[in-house]
Amino acid sequence: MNDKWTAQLSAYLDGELTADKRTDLERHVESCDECRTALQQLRGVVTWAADFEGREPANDVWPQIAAVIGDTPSGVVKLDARRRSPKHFALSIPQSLAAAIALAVVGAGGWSLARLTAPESQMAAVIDISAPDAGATVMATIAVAQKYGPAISDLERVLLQENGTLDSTTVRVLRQQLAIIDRALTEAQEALARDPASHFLADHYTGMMKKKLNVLRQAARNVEVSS
Amino acid sequence: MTSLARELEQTPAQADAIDVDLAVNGDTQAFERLYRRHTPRVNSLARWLLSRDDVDDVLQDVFIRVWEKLDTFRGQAAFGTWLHRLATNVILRQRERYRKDEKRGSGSLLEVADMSASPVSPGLSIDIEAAVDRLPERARQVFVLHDLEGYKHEEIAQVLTISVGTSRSQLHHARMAMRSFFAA
Repeated sequence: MNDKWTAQLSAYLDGELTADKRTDLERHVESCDECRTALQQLRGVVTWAADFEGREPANDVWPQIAAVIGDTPSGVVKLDARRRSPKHFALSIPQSLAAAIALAVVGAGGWSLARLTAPESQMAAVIDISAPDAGATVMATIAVAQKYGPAISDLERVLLQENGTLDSTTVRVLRQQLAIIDRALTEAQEALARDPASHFLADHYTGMMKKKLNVLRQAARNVEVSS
Repeated sequence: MTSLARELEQTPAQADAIDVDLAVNGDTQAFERLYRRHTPRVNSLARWLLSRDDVDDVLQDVFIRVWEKLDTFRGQAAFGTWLHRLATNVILRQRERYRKDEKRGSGSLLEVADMSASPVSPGLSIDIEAAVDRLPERARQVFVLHDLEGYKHEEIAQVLTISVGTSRSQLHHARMAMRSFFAA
């Protein structure tokens, strides 16, 4: 088996060789065990790929998707709502509350309830968003809050309980860092409220949440070492 | 015939066609069935094209887009083919965003899975998947787009901004690297 022939095996399998080259290769493969073996193995690779059914994701994201598409207990969304979905993202009051509660757990960096709902109104809470993928971006941000919020709350509680363990300089630096991150989170939320379709802002918000989690984790590790 | 019996007689493509009709009319349970049927492959596609394990956000984005665009599906191709094309577009756009983030140094590199972990032993399907994980990034992307998703080299060259010749040679290298898993 040499490179001249092996280099042509993939193209042969994909039907990309000219008739002359195809005949030459077939003639060679008949007399070359190694090339014949390689060709059969490559055929196995191609067949496996075509039949591959994929791997289940680590997390089921259907609940988040259902929240965005307005899944109802009956499982049927009104037609006009579905057709509106590219331009209008509507949340029912229970969904808005669930989303707002999820965001509220983020603590200082969390969204206020008022931002997603209009509690003074008994009408369905509807967020009209003109950008096509605004709904996806907002829900992705909510999912981030759901993902990181509980861990952040837990760590904040631990640090509060262990406040006396860290030295005063560390506490001061930690507070400064968290204040900066919280400010950035608040600004990102405010900006997202104005521009809900912005992937940049959503990514920025996600990055800040991760940063806050990392800072708190680092602080918690320091507490463990000190105590 | 009971609905269960009918379901058992359906091929996945037939089940898709029925559920697409229902979902276009607002049936979210039918859409959930489509999601369950197609998520594993979209998940693998996202992991391999983005070189990361954490693809929850992308999966959500893909299926929300599918829901939004479902009434544009005309049945000219299999639903799975249509969905995977749409998913690939969403994933490749996300890939661009990650690349920009990485250039800005804003952290997403931290989540890139370590694909160079322990060696795999041949024989099991999961080992073959691990072998795909371990391919060099460019070869993996070309292999996934060509052999799993049916993209032509010209299309791959365009979406990955490489030459057609590079696409061909990367595909060949990827297949050659994986061939030891398949008995002659």
